[in-house]
Amino acid sequence: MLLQIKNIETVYYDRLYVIKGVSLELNEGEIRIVVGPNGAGKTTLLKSIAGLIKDQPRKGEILFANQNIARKSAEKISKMGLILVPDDRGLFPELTVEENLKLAGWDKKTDSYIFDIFPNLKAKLKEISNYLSGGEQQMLALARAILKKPKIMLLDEPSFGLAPKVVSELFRIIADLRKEFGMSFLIAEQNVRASIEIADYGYIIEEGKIVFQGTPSDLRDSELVKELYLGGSVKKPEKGWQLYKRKRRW
Amino acid sequence: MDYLIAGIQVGFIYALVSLGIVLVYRATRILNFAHPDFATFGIFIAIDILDKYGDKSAWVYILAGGAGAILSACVSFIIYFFIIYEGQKRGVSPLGLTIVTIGIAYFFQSLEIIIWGADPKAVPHFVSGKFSLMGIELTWHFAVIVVVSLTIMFILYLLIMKTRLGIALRAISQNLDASRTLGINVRFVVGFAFFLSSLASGIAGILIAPVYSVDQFFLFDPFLKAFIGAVIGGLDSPPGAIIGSLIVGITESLFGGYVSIKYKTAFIFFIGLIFLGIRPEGIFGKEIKERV
Repeated sequence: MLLQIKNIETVYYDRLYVIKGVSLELNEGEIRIVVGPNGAGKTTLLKSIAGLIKDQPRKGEILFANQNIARKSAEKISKMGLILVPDDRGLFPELTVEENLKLAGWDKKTDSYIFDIFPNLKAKLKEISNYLSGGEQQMLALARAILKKPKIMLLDEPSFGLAPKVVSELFRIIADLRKEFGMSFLIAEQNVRASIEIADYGYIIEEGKIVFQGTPSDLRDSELVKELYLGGSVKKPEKGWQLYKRKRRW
Repeated sequence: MDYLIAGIQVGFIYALVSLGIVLVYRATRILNFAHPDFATFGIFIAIDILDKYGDKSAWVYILAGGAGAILSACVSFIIYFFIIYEGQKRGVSPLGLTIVTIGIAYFFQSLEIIIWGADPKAVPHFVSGKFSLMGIELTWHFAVIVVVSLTIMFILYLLIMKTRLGIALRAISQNLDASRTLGINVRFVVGFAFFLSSLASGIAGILIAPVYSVDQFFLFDPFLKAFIGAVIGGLDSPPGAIIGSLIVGITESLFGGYVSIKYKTAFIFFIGLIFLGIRPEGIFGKEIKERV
């Protein structure tokens, strides 16, 4: 087991419980997805793992390669080989593509492989990263993360704001990276349809708790996923209290 | 013309000091009020060296000045590394840490009085004489200030724009979380910004020490004017800080020469206030928008 999260709790301002006892696992070379609506706690979960929330998670253990990394600094966790690509891509907007790559240790002579994966970036090395398209920014964020040679990549909504064609290209690249470099991915997504295609396992998170988990076929068969993400409800129309409960929840 | 030249001279000094203010502000959003005191500490050391090796040759000046500036830079690095960073780590806000720097400034002023006494010290001119350039009479002191300031600015430009450490420094000022997830050693890199800022101010202090009498507060006035220069040019823009400081230096000198020497400082602060009212981000600064 490469990453094992045991019953973690993340609390903001001492009273706002955002993650409430989440446990999940990630094996070497695996892609797992965490699916949930806005405000379910996906971003907080990934940030808690990556050490970006001060003194959090308050409870629980995060075992990465058998070491507890809970509450360790982001710098240390990154150096150990676990890297987060946040939902805003985490680029340095005023730096050029080349400078962004250099910060991840890019070397002109030895790291040309990065342009085999992301050919678009080669022609844009001198461009300011803020002026790239959304898709190119996401590719740059991924390229930068790959250069750090991580064992695990945490991707927060990588498809957010991208055109469907770019999304399928992005998930193809992620699948290729797993195959070529043996990297593991934990992906927080709302785009279930695209991410489920490459996932080995999935979790549904709701109000800070894992409410469902299983293989892609389990997810596809789940009424919850069908109804809320895949648009194929087979349930009878809800009425009254049932409908109220669902609307409040989602 | 004399007033203009005097304004350019003092403008370059303000520019070196304001570059230091901007470097630290960009990386931390802290206004370092101890900035002039780190530099003053180094200048007192330089004066001690000059007193000890009293032949006052140019080499002794360069060595003493260099040693003083490097020492003030090291003090600044240590203060960031062990005090300010610890505050940041514990979640102290930039405003809270700005207040901490006021405390550090008082500490250094008191320490300097204990070690060197409260009497002002005179520093002899390290160059004297005049020369003529295109019909304009200039002092060698002016030439040294301009050449050294431009050289320091060029070196700072190369360090910040071309080295990996400089790129990391710019990265931290743009996205702290992303810098941390990339494994950038934020503590060391921001410490480096403190080092550079005090090095520039230390050199500025040594260049103007012969004009002022050196006491614990002698860099406070240039610091405030450099701060106004940074406000005018843009607190997050190094080129803006240089241009803003030159504007302050020249305006101050011309106002002092032609209008009133008594109110020249007040006039500079008045201009600073006007800029804060109409363009708070400065000429070259970017509007800061924060998500609540």
